[in-house]
Amino acid sequence: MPPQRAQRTVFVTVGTTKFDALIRAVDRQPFADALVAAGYTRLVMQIGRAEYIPRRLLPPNSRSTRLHNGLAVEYFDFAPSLADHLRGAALVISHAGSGSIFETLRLRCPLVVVPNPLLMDNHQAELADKLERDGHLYAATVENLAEVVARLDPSRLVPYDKGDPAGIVRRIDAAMGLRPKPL
Amino acid sequence: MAAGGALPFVAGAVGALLLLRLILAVINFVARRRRSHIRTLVVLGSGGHTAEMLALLGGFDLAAYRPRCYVVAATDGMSGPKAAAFEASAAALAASSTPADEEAPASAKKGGRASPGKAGSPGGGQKTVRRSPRVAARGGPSSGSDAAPAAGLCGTLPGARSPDSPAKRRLLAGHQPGGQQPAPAYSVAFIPRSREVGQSWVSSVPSTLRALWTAVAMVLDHSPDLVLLNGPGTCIPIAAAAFLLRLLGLCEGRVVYVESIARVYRLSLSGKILYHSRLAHTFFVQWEELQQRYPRAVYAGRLM
Repeated sequence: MPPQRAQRTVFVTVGTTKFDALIRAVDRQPFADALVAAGYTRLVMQIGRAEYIPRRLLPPNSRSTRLHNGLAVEYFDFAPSLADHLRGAALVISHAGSGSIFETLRLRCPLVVVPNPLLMDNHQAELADKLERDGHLYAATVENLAEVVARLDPSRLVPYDKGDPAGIVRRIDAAMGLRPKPL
Repeated sequence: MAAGGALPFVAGAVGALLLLRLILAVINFVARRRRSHIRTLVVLGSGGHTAEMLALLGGFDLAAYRPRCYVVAATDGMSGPKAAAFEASAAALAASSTPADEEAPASAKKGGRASPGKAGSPGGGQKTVRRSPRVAARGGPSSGSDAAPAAGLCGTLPGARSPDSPAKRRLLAGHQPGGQQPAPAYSVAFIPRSREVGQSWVSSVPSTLRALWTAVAMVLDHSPDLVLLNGPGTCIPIAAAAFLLRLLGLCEGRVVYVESIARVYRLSLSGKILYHSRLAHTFFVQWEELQQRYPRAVYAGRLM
Protein backbone atom coordinates (compact mmCIF):
# COMPACT_ATOMS: atom_id res chain seq x y z
CA MET A 1 0.00 0.00 0.00
CA PRO A 2 1.67 3.24 -1.07
CA PRO A 3 2.17 5.57 1.91
CA GLN A 4 -0.30 8.45 1.81
CA ARG A 5 0.26 11.78 3.47
CA ALA A 6 -2.67 12.42 5.78
CA GLN A 7 -5.02 15.06 4.44
CA ARG A 8 -4.74 18.27 6.49
CA THR A 9 -7.43 20.67 5.43
CA VAL A 10 -7.79 24.34 6.21
CA PHE A 11 -11.45 25.33 6.08
CA VAL A 12 -12.25 29.01 5.65
CA THR A 13 -15.85 29.98 6.42
CA VAL A 14 -17.86 33.21 6.41
CA GLY A 15 -21.24 31.66 7.15
CA THR A 16 -24.07 33.56 5.50
CA THR A 17 -22.22 36.86 5.57
CA LYS A 18 -20.32 38.84 2.97
CA PHE A 19 -16.66 39.06 3.90
CA ASP A 20 -14.71 39.76 0.73
CA ALA A 21 -11.62 40.94 2.59
CA LEU A 22 -11.09 37.54 4.19
CA ILE A 23 -11.49 35.66 0.92
CA ARG A 24 -9.07 38.03 -0.78
CA ALA A 25 -6.55 37.55 2.01
CA VAL A 26 -6.74 33.78 1.69
CA ASP A 27 -6.77 33.69 -2.09
CA ARG A 28 -3.09 34.57 -2.34
CA GLN A 29 0.02 32.61 -3.34
CA PRO A 30 2.03 33.67 -0.28
CA PHE A 31 -0.81 32.47 1.93
CA ALA A 32 -0.96 29.15 0.06
CA ASP A 33 2.80 28.80 0.50
CA ALA A 34 2.47 29.49 4.22
CA LEU A 35 -0.13 26.75 4.48
CA VAL A 36 2.08 24.22 2.74
CA ALA A 37 5.03 25.20 4.93
CA ALA A 38 2.85 24.61 7.99
CA GLY A 39 1.99 21.13 6.75
CA TYR A 40 -1.50 21.64 5.32
CA THR A 41 -2.48 19.83 2.14
CA ARG A 42 -5.83 21.31 1.22
CA LEU A 43 -7.62 24.66 1.36
CA VAL A 44 -11.39 24.88 1.18
CA MET A 45 -13.11 28.27 1.09
CA GLN A 46 -16.78 28.71 1.92
CA ILE A 47 -17.32 32.17 0.49
CA GLY A 48 -20.93 32.89 1.44
CA ARG A 49 -22.28 36.07 -0.12
CA ALA A 50 -18.88 37.31 -1.26
CA GLU A 51 -18.80 39.32 -4.46
CA TYR A 52 -15.14 38.46 -4.84
CA ILE A 53 -14.72 35.05 -6.47
CA PRO A 54 -11.32 33.46 -5.80
CA ARG A 55 -9.33 33.89 -9.00
CA ARG A 56 -5.69 34.21 -8.01
CA LEU A 57 -5.17 30.65 -6.84
CA LEU A 58 -7.81 29.16 -9.07
CA PRO A 59 -8.04 29.08 -12.85
CA PRO A 60 -10.98 31.05 -14.31
CA ASN A 61 -14.34 29.30 -14.10
CA SER A 62 -12.93 26.59 -11.93
CA ARG A 63 -13.99 25.69 -8.43
CA SER A 64 -11.07 23.46 -7.60
CA THR A 65 -7.47 22.98 -8.54
CA ARG A 66 -4.12 21.68 -7.33
CA LEU A 67 -1.32 24.21 -7.06
CA HIS A 68 2.32 23.70 -8.00
CA ASN A 69 3.23 23.61 -4.35
CA GLY A 70 0.91 20.62 -3.91
CA LEU A 71 -1.93 22.40 -2.14
CA ALA A 72 -5.42 21.36 -3.25
CA VAL A 73 -7.68 24.40 -3.39
CA GLU A 74 -11.43 24.57 -3.83
CA TYR A 75 -14.33 26.85 -2.93
CA PHE A 76 -18.12 26.89 -2.66
CA ASP A 77 -20.65 29.45 -1.50
CA PHE A 78 -23.15 27.76 0.77
CA ALA A 79 -23.97 24.35 2.13
CA PRO A 80 -26.94 23.26 4.25
CA SER A 81 -24.61 22.18 6.99
CA LEU A 82 -20.98 22.98 7.51
CA ALA A 83 -20.55 20.36 10.23
CA ASP A 84 -18.83 17.83 7.98
CA HIS A 85 -16.42 20.43 6.67
CA LEU A 86 -15.66 21.56 10.20
CA ARG A 87 -15.15 18.04 11.44
CA GLY A 88 -12.80 17.19 8.62
CA ALA A 89 -10.63 20.25 9.05
CA ALA A 90 -7.25 20.43 10.73
CA LEU A 91 -7.72 24.20 11.04
CA VAL A 92 -10.75 26.44 10.71
CA ILE A 93 -10.50 30.11 9.80
CA SER A 94 -13.83 31.75 10.50
CA HIS A 95 -15.61 35.07 10.52
CA ALA A 96 -16.49 36.22 14.01
CA GLY A 97 -20.14 35.19 14.12
CA SER A 98 -20.99 33.60 17.45
CA GLY A 99 -22.82 30.67 15.88
CA SER A 100 -19.84 29.78 13.73
CA ILE A 101 -17.43 30.19 16.62
CA PHE A 102 -19.32 27.98 19.04
CA GLU A 103 -20.14 25.33 16.47
CA THR A 104 -16.44 25.04 15.70
CA LEU A 105 -15.36 25.07 19.35
CA ARG A 106 -17.93 22.38 20.17
CA LEU A 107 -16.33 20.17 17.53
CA ARG A 108 -12.94 20.84 19.12
CA CYS A 109 -11.39 22.19 15.88
CA PRO A 110 -8.43 24.54 16.11
CA LEU A 111 -9.88 27.92 15.21
CA VAL A 112 -8.64 31.28 13.99
CA VAL A 113 -11.29 33.99 14.12
CA VAL A 114 -11.12 37.05 11.89
CA PRO A 115 -13.54 39.86 12.79
CA ASN A 116 -14.79 41.73 9.74
CA PRO A 117 -13.25 45.23 9.80
CA LEU A 118 -16.34 46.61 8.06
CA LEU A 119 -18.44 45.50 11.02
CA MET A 120 -16.18 46.87 13.72
CA ASP A 121 -18.96 48.84 15.34
CA ASN A 122 -21.07 45.75 15.83
CA HIS A 123 -19.34 44.04 18.74
CA GLN A 124 -18.20 40.96 16.86
CA ALA A 125 -14.65 41.46 18.01
CA GLU A 126 -15.63 41.28 21.71
CA LEU A 127 -16.35 37.58 21.66
CA ALA A 128 -13.25 36.72 19.64
CA ASP A 129 -11.15 38.82 21.98
CA LYS A 130 -12.57 37.20 25.12
CA LEU A 131 -12.23 33.64 23.85
CA GLU A 132 -8.67 34.33 22.74
CA ARG A 133 -7.80 35.67 26.17
CA ASP A 134 -9.18 32.49 27.65
CA GLY A 135 -7.01 30.48 25.27
CA HIS A 136 -9.76 28.81 23.25
CA LEU A 137 -8.89 30.20 19.83
CA TYR A 138 -6.61 32.56 17.96
CA ALA A 139 -7.82 35.94 16.76
CA ALA A 140 -6.32 37.49 13.65
CA THR A 141 -6.86 40.37 11.33
CA VAL A 142 -7.06 40.21 7.58
CA GLU A 143 -3.54 41.65 7.48
CA ASN A 144 -1.77 39.31 9.91
CA LEU A 145 -3.68 36.13 9.09
CA ALA A 146 -0.82 34.39 7.28
CA GLU A 147 1.54 35.13 10.14
CA VAL A 148 -0.92 33.88 12.77
CA VAL A 149 -1.51 30.67 10.82
CA ALA A 150 2.23 30.13 10.42
CA ARG A 151 3.02 30.40 14.11
CA LEU A 152 -0.09 28.97 15.73
CA ASP A 153 0.21 25.88 17.85
CA PRO A 154 -3.07 23.94 18.13
CA SER A 155 -1.79 21.95 21.08
CA ARG A 156 -1.73 25.11 23.17
CA LEU A 157 -5.42 25.75 22.72
CA VAL A 158 -7.64 25.14 25.72
CA PRO A 159 -10.74 23.08 24.88
CA TYR A 160 -13.93 25.08 25.32
CA ASP A 161 -16.44 23.47 27.63
CA LYS A 162 -19.91 23.57 26.21
CA GLY A 163 -22.33 25.84 27.97
CA ASP A 164 -25.29 24.57 29.91
CA PRO A 165 -28.67 26.27 30.20
CA ALA A 166 -29.30 24.54 33.53
CA GLY A 167 -28.07 27.47 35.59
CA ILE A 168 -30.43 29.94 33.98
CA VAL A 169 -33.27 27.42 33.90
CA ARG A 170 -32.94 26.73 37.61
CA ARG A 171 -33.28 30.41 38.40
CA ILE A 172 -36.31 30.79 36.19
CA ASP A 173 -37.91 27.66 37.64
CA ALA A 174 -37.45 29.11 41.10
CA ALA A 175 -38.84 32.49 40.08
CA MET A 176 -41.89 30.81 38.54
CA GLY A 177 -42.51 28.75 41.65
CA LEU A 178 -41.60 25.36 40.22
CA ARG A 179 -40.25 22.98 42.76
CA PRO A 180 -37.00 21.36 41.59
CA LYS A 181 -37.63 17.86 40.33
CA PRO A 182 -36.24 15.02 42.43
CA LEU A 183 -33.32 13.43 40.59
CA MET B 1 -66.49 76.02 37.57
CA ALA B 2 -67.70 72.92 39.29
CA ALA B 3 -64.28 71.85 40.39
CA GLY B 4 -65.49 71.04 43.83
CA GLY B 5 -68.35 68.99 42.43
CA ALA B 6 -66.08 66.96 40.15
CA LEU B 7 -63.83 65.75 42.92
CA PRO B 8 -66.08 63.09 44.45
CA PHE B 9 -66.81 61.83 40.95
CA VAL B 10 -63.11 61.51 40.14
CA ALA B 11 -62.41 59.92 43.50
CA GLY B 12 -65.22 57.46 42.90
CA ALA B 13 -63.93 56.58 39.44
CA VAL B 14 -60.41 56.04 40.72
CA GLY B 15 -61.73 53.96 43.58
CA ALA B 16 -63.76 51.83 41.20
CA LEU B 17 -60.73 51.28 38.98
CA LEU B 18 -58.59 50.30 41.93
CA LEU B 19 -61.27 47.91 43.13
CA LEU B 20 -61.45 46.39 39.67
CA ARG B 21 -57.69 46.09 39.63
CA LEU B 22 -57.80 44.37 43.00
CA ILE B 23 -60.47 41.96 41.83
CA LEU B 24 -58.44 41.09 38.74
CA ALA B 25 -55.38 40.55 40.87
CA VAL B 26 -57.25 38.18 43.15
CA ILE B 27 -58.70 36.27 40.20
CA ASN B 28 -55.27 35.94 38.62
CA PHE B 29 -53.75 34.84 41.91
CA VAL B 30 -56.34 32.14 42.45
CA ALA B 31 -56.15 31.03 38.84
CA ARG B 32 -52.41 30.77 38.95
CA ARG B 33 -52.43 28.65 42.06
CA ARG B 34 -54.82 26.19 40.42
CA ARG B 35 -52.93 26.16 37.15
CA SER B 36 -50.47 23.37 36.73
CA HIS B 37 -48.45 24.79 33.89
CA ILE B 38 -46.67 27.98 32.93
CA ARG B 39 -47.86 29.70 29.78
CA THR B 40 -44.77 30.87 27.96
CA LEU B 41 -44.16 33.42 25.23
CA VAL B 42 -40.82 33.24 23.46
CA VAL B 43 -39.49 35.93 21.14
CA LEU B 44 -37.16 34.63 18.45
CA GLY B 45 -34.73 36.80 16.50
CA SER B 46 -32.42 36.24 13.58
CA GLY B 47 -29.70 33.64 13.49
CA GLY B 48 -27.71 33.59 16.69
CA HIS B 49 -30.62 34.80 18.80
CA THR B 50 -32.84 31.90 17.81
CA ALA B 51 -30.06 29.37 18.29
CA GLU B 52 -29.45 30.61 21.82
CA MET B 53 -33.12 30.75 22.71
CA LEU B 54 -33.69 27.20 21.55
CA ALA B 55 -30.61 26.10 23.49
CA LEU B 56 -32.19 27.70 26.56
CA LEU B 57 -35.57 26.10 25.96
CA GLY B 58 -33.88 22.73 25.66
CA GLY B 59 -33.09 22.99 29.35
CA PHE B 60 -36.67 23.56 30.45
CA ASP B 61 -39.21 21.02 31.59
CA LEU B 62 -41.43 21.53 28.56
CA ALA B 63 -44.30 19.70 30.21
CA ALA B 64 -44.46 22.51 32.76
CA TYR B 65 -43.79 25.43 30.43
CA ARG B 66 -46.71 25.24 28.07
CA PRO B 67 -48.41 26.22 25.92
CA ARG B 68 -45.53 28.01 24.20
CA CYS B 69 -46.06 30.81 21.74
CA TYR B 70 -43.13 31.77 19.55
CA VAL B 71 -43.14 35.35 18.33
CA VAL B 72 -41.21 36.01 15.17
CA ALA B 73 -40.64 39.18 13.14
CA ALA B 74 -42.85 39.33 10.07
CA THR B 75 -39.83 39.43 7.78
CA ASP B 76 -38.09 36.48 9.44
CA GLY B 77 -38.66 33.31 7.48
CA MET B 78 -36.10 31.15 9.26
CA SER B 79 -37.02 31.25 12.92
CA GLY B 80 -40.51 29.77 12.58
CA PRO B 81 -39.24 26.57 10.95
CA LYS B 82 -36.43 26.36 13.49
CA ALA B 83 -38.97 26.53 16.30
CA ALA B 84 -41.05 23.86 14.59
CA ALA B 85 -38.03 21.60 14.25
CA PHE B 86 -37.17 22.13 17.91
CA GLU B 87 -40.72 21.31 18.97
CA ALA B 88 -40.80 18.22 16.77
CA SER B 89 -37.61 16.83 18.22
CA ALA B 90 -38.73 17.67 21.75
CA ALA B 91 -42.02 15.88 21.13
CA ALA B 92 -40.21 12.88 19.70
CA LEU B 93 -37.96 12.79 22.73
CA ALA B 94 -40.92 12.99 25.08
CA ALA B 95 -42.79 10.30 23.19
CA SER B 96 -39.86 7.93 23.30
CA SER B 97 -39.23 8.39 26.99
CA THR B 98 -42.81 8.21 28.28
CA PRO B 99 -43.86 4.72 29.35
CA ALA B 100 -46.44 3.11 27.08
CA ASP B 101 -49.99 3.93 27.99
CA GLU B 102 -52.69 1.53 26.81
CA GLU B 103 -55.47 4.02 27.17
CA ALA B 104 -53.86 6.74 25.17
CA PRO B 105 -51.74 5.40 22.36
CA ALA B 106 -49.18 7.76 20.89
CA SER B 107 -51.12 10.81 19.94
CA ALA B 108 -48.50 11.60 17.33
CA LYS B 109 -49.97 8.84 15.22
CA LYS B 110 -53.51 10.00 15.56
CA GLY B 111 -54.95 13.20 14.28
CA GLY B 112 -56.09 14.59 17.57
CA ARG B 113 -55.86 14.24 21.28
CA ALA B 114 -56.05 10.56 22.07
CA SER B 115 -57.77 10.75 25.42
CA PRO B 116 -61.39 9.88 24.93
CA GLY B 117 -64.09 11.54 26.89
CA LYS B 118 -62.05 14.48 28.01
CA ALA B 119 -64.12 17.55 28.25
CA GLY B 120 -62.86 20.46 26.26
CA SER B 121 -59.99 18.72 24.53
CA PRO B 122 -59.18 20.57 21.35
CA GLY B 123 -57.39 19.27 18.30
CA GLY B 124 -59.53 18.38 15.37
CA GLY B 125 -62.84 18.87 17.12
CA GLN B 126 -62.81 22.46 18.15
CA LYS B 127 -63.42 24.91 15.40
CA THR B 128 -65.08 27.65 17.37
CA VAL B 129 -62.52 30.13 17.28
CA ARG B 130 -61.95 33.74 17.01
CA ARG B 131 -59.72 34.29 14.05
CA SER B 132 -56.37 35.47 15.19
CA PRO B 133 -54.76 36.76 12.02
CA ARG B 134 -51.39 37.06 13.63
CA VAL B 135 -51.22 33.43 14.60
CA ALA B 136 -50.04 31.74 11.48
CA ALA B 137 -49.08 28.27 12.52
CA ARG B 138 -49.17 25.91 15.35
CA GLY B 139 -48.34 22.41 16.18
CA GLY B 140 -47.75 19.94 18.91
CA PRO B 141 -48.74 16.41 19.77
CA SER B 142 -52.41 17.21 19.76
CA SER B 143 -52.54 18.57 16.26
CA GLY B 144 -51.35 15.93 13.89
CA SER B 145 -53.71 16.99 11.14
CA ASP B 146 -52.40 20.49 10.87
CA ALA B 147 -48.86 19.75 11.79
CA ALA B 148 -47.48 21.63 8.81
CA PRO B 149 -46.70 25.12 10.01
CA ALA B 150 -47.88 27.13 7.08
CA ALA B 151 -49.87 30.30 6.70
CA GLY B 152 -53.58 29.99 6.18
CA LEU B 153 -54.33 27.81 9.18
CA CYS B 154 -56.09 30.64 10.96
CA GLY B 155 -59.49 29.08 10.77
CA THR B 156 -58.53 26.01 12.73
CA LEU B 157 -56.38 27.64 15.33
CA PRO B 158 -57.26 28.34 18.90
CA GLY B 159 -57.64 32.01 19.53
CA ALA B 160 -58.46 34.06 22.55
CA ARG B 161 -61.92 32.66 23.03
CA SER B 162 -61.48 28.97 22.84
CA PRO B 163 -59.62 26.25 24.73
CA ASP B 164 -56.85 28.67 25.51
CA SER B 165 -59.09 31.40 26.89
CA PRO B 166 -58.40 32.25 30.49
CA ALA B 167 -61.82 31.14 31.63
CA LYS B 168 -61.58 27.74 30.00
CA ARG B 169 -58.04 27.27 31.19
CA ARG B 170 -59.10 27.76 34.78
CA LEU B 171 -61.82 25.23 34.23
CA LEU B 172 -59.48 22.66 32.78
CA ALA B 173 -56.74 23.25 35.28
CA GLY B 174 -58.13 20.70 37.65
CA HIS B 175 -58.68 17.95 35.10
CA GLN B 176 -55.24 16.74 34.19
CA PRO B 177 -54.66 13.05 34.68
CA GLY B 178 -51.06 11.96 34.42
CA GLY B 179 -49.75 14.77 32.26
CA GLN B 180 -52.22 14.65 29.37
CA GLN B 181 -52.32 18.09 27.84
CA PRO B 182 -55.62 19.36 26.54
CA ALA B 183 -54.08 22.34 24.77
CA PRO B 184 -51.72 22.30 21.77
CA ALA B 185 -48.10 22.53 22.80
CA TYR B 186 -46.98 25.51 20.72
CA SER B 187 -47.89 28.16 18.20
CA VAL B 188 -46.02 30.68 16.08
CA ALA B 189 -47.14 34.28 15.71
CA PHE B 190 -45.75 37.16 13.67
CA ILE B 191 -45.13 40.73 14.73
CA PRO B 192 -44.23 43.60 12.42
CA ARG B 193 -40.80 45.07 13.00
CA SER B 194 -40.66 48.36 14.89
CA ARG B 195 -37.91 49.58 12.63
CA GLU B 196 -35.99 48.15 9.72
CA VAL B 197 -32.25 48.67 9.54
CA GLY B 198 -31.62 52.08 8.03
CA GLN B 199 -35.20 53.26 8.39
CA SER B 200 -35.49 56.93 9.32
CA TRP B 201 -36.31 57.56 12.96
CA VAL B 202 -39.29 59.74 12.03
CA SER B 203 -40.99 57.05 10.00
CA SER B 204 -40.29 54.47 12.67
CA VAL B 205 -42.78 56.12 15.04
CA PRO B 206 -45.89 54.78 13.27
CA SER B 207 -44.25 51.42 12.65
CA THR B 208 -43.25 51.17 16.30
CA LEU B 209 -46.80 51.99 17.36
CA ARG B 210 -48.09 49.31 15.03
CA ALA B 211 -45.66 46.81 16.49
CA LEU B 212 -46.71 47.82 20.00
CA TRP B 213 -50.36 47.40 19.15
CA THR B 214 -49.70 43.95 17.75
CA ALA B 215 -47.64 43.10 20.80
CA VAL B 216 -50.44 44.08 23.16
CA ALA B 217 -52.93 41.97 21.22
CA MET B 218 -50.52 39.07 21.18
CA VAL B 219 -49.75 39.19 24.88
CA LEU B 220 -53.43 39.59 25.69
CA ASP B 221 -54.22 36.66 23.44
CA HIS B 222 -51.69 34.28 24.90
CA SER B 223 -51.77 35.65 28.43
CA PRO B 224 -48.29 34.39 29.28
CA ASP B 225 -47.00 33.74 32.77
CA LEU B 226 -43.48 33.95 31.41
CA VAL B 227 -42.05 36.00 28.56
CA LEU B 228 -38.59 34.97 27.34
CA LEU B 229 -36.54 37.51 25.43
CA ASN B 230 -32.96 37.50 24.25
CA GLY B 231 -32.17 40.53 22.21
CA PRO B 232 -33.77 41.20 18.84
CA GLY B 233 -35.50 44.56 18.45
CA THR B 234 -38.84 42.80 18.27
CA CYS B 235 -38.59 42.04 21.97
CA ILE B 236 -39.03 45.62 23.14
CA PRO B 237 -42.70 46.03 22.15
CA ILE B 238 -43.42 42.64 23.70
CA ALA B 239 -41.73 43.62 26.96
CA ALA B 240 -43.62 46.89 27.02
CA ALA B 241 -46.91 45.12 26.32
CA ALA B 242 -46.29 42.55 29.03
CA PHE B 243 -45.51 45.31 31.49
CA LEU B 244 -48.63 47.26 30.56
CA LEU B 245 -50.94 44.26 30.81
CA ARG B 246 -49.36 43.18 34.06
CA LEU B 247 -49.99 46.65 35.42
CA LEU B 248 -53.63 46.35 34.42
CA GLY B 249 -53.85 42.98 36.09
CA LEU B 250 -54.63 41.20 32.84
CA CYS B 251 -51.72 38.82 32.77
CA GLU B 252 -48.89 37.55 34.91
CA GLY B 253 -46.32 38.27 32.22
CA ARG B 254 -43.01 37.87 34.07
CA VAL B 255 -40.35 39.13 31.68
CA VAL B 256 -37.02 37.34 31.61
CA TYR B 257 -34.24 38.68 29.39
CA VAL B 258 -31.10 36.75 28.50
CA GLU B 259 -28.43 38.90 26.86
CA SER B 260 -26.69 37.26 23.93
CA ILE B 261 -23.51 35.30 24.53
CA ALA B 262 -21.87 37.51 21.90
CA ARG B 263 -22.14 40.40 24.35
CA VAL B 264 -19.11 40.18 26.62
CA TYR B 265 -18.24 43.71 27.65
CA ARG B 266 -21.21 45.80 26.47
CA LEU B 267 -24.96 45.29 26.39
CA SER B 268 -26.92 45.31 23.17
CA LEU B 269 -29.33 48.15 22.52
CA SER B 270 -32.30 46.00 23.54
CA GLY B 271 -30.37 44.96 26.62
CA LYS B 272 -29.64 48.54 27.61
CA ILE B 273 -33.25 49.55 27.11
CA LEU B 274 -34.59 46.67 29.17
CA TYR B 275 -31.95 46.96 31.88
CA HIS B 276 -32.32 50.67 32.51
CA SER B 277 -36.09 50.73 32.12
CA ARG B 278 -36.38 47.77 34.50
CA LEU B 279 -38.98 46.23 32.24
CA ALA B 280 -37.41 42.82 32.79
CA HIS B 281 -37.91 41.07 36.11
CA THR B 282 -34.75 39.06 35.65
CA PHE B 283 -31.88 40.13 33.43
CA PHE B 284 -29.37 37.41 32.64
CA VAL B 285 -25.94 38.01 31.17
CA GLN B 286 -23.64 35.23 30.01
CA TRP B 287 -20.28 36.62 31.05
CA GLU B 288 -19.07 37.64 34.48
CA GLU B 289 -17.50 40.77 33.01
CA LEU B 290 -20.90 42.08 32.08
CA GLN B 291 -22.40 41.15 35.41
CA GLN B 292 -19.79 43.24 37.15
CA ARG B 293 -20.62 46.22 34.98
CA TYR B 294 -24.35 45.82 35.44
CA PRO B 295 -24.94 44.86 39.06
CA ARG B 296 -28.64 44.12 38.73
CA ALA B 297 -27.86 41.53 36.07
CA VAL B 298 -27.57 37.85 36.95
CA TYR B 299 -24.80 35.57 35.75
CA ALA B 300 -25.88 31.93 35.80
CA GLY B 301 -23.67 30.31 33.22
CA ARG B 302 -23.62 30.29 29.43
CA LEU B 303 -25.99 28.83 26.90
CA MET B 304 -23.48 27.82 24.23
